[in-house]
Amino acid sequence: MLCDRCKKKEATIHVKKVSNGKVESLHLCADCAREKEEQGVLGALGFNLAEVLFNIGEMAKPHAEEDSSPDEKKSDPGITCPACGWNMEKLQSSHGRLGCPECYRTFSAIIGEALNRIQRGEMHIGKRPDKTDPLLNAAALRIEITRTRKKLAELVRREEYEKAAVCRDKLNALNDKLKSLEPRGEVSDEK
Amino acid sequence: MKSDAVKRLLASPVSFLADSGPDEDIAISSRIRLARNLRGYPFPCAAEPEQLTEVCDLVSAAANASGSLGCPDCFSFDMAELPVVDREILLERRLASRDFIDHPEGSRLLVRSDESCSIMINEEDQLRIQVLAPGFQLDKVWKTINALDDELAAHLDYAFDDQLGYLTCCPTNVGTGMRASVMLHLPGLVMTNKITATIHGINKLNLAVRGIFGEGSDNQGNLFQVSNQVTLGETESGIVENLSQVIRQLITHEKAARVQLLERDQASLLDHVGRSYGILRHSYKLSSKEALNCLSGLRVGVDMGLFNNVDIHRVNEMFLTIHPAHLQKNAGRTLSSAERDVVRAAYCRSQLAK
Repeated sequence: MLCDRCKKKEATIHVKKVSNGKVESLHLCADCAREKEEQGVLGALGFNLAEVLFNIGEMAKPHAEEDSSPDEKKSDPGITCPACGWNMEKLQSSHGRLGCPECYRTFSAIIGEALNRIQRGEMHIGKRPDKTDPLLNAAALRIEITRTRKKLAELVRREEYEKAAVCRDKLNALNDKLKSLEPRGEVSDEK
Repeated sequence: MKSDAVKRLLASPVSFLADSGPDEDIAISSRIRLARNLRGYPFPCAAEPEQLTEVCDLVSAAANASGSLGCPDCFSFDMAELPVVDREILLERRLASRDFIDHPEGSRLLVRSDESCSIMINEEDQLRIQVLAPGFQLDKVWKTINALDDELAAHLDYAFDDQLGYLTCCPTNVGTGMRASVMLHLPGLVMTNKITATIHGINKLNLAVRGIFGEGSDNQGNLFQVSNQVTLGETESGIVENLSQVIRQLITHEKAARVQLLERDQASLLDHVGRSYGILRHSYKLSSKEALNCLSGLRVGVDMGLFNNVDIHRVNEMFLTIHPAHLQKNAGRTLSSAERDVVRAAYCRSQLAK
């Protein structure tokens, strides 16, 4: 689906808002969403980046009937971060920002949904400050294995065999590592 | 004292523009930034003034202790102490973001003397570590910033979560906290009307395309910044690899577009280059936008080897120096917009008369 605003880029942010019993939908690409937010246009329309990210607008409205079965935690306006004191209202007025690292735990339900929409996964598989191998975590390892397998298939399709060989070796090493982490061998689908 | 430091900065060549880098005719520069925060402190948007000061001091101490950025012999700017024009200089040299210079209270900028690395303290996140290099060399930039990040991490307690990675003020950066980007000069794709389709294609790959100074600066001087959007669920080297692959393709497409122009519409291409040179060499009033667009044309001519009195580094330097704060700093006084246009034209004439 194309962005409602520029009609050029793919819409990656989808907002629904209920006002006066009517559902308004807005489909934006990331750039237009950010620009609109900067110009205050989203605010004027009753949308802002926080709503876009967290769907707070819908959650805060108890009468919103559209596709909503908000669980209690999400719709509870009383959640307050014990570390920085931010609540839903503050999140809404903060352009999608959070108050402190602890907010990720406090608002985990809504942040989880936001991450599903804007990110590629829910698990960090990159570097760590303690320099331990991020792939010592089985979940992260599985993600990397899936990705490497796709990459290998793509390289074979493109007949780039030298690179494919390197990729295959990497895949084997990752599979070995997963086996060592899970000695009972839940890696049956790795071939 | 601080203003002296800005003068010193101004006098030195910008390494990402003065040095040559791979594929520099099309890829102007490569940049990676990492967002980091400290455990136990609120993000800058929720912090008290004394907490902001504390974070500034902690990061400075970590940089000094680790010798990162060449500290303590690095530039250190307390942003609130700088006049507006000096802050704008830092923006134009791509050492600071617009948001950072517009909210100077409680924030500090550390810059290595060659301007290749910097840390914005208390931007949206407490640390925005940046490494900038000429040409297309994301791999090298990643190695540099990874090492820099490790040095700092040895002295700082980063806010990190096993599942979510580096915790950032905005969830759009959580995970790696990494934004990698390459600045490309794409006049061939613009002139052959392929740029819209190209940008559309890039967006589908979860990459963002922006103008020279980020959002709202579309297509000035045919300069485009391509960057990753996703920060969670991918490794840093995966992000670099994916982006690099797209950049390589874009460079190939741009080269093909230029060949196509040369073969099918040589007169139009030469006319564009010639007019651009003519305006820069002979005009007496030049707006920033016109100058950027003409410099783009001049750059194409230089890439094609049409000029023996101008090289790519001169053009790159002009790309920087025609901006308002640099013009005013060099003139030594505040200039109105109309005055700037006159001074800008005089500067361009003098550069091409050499």
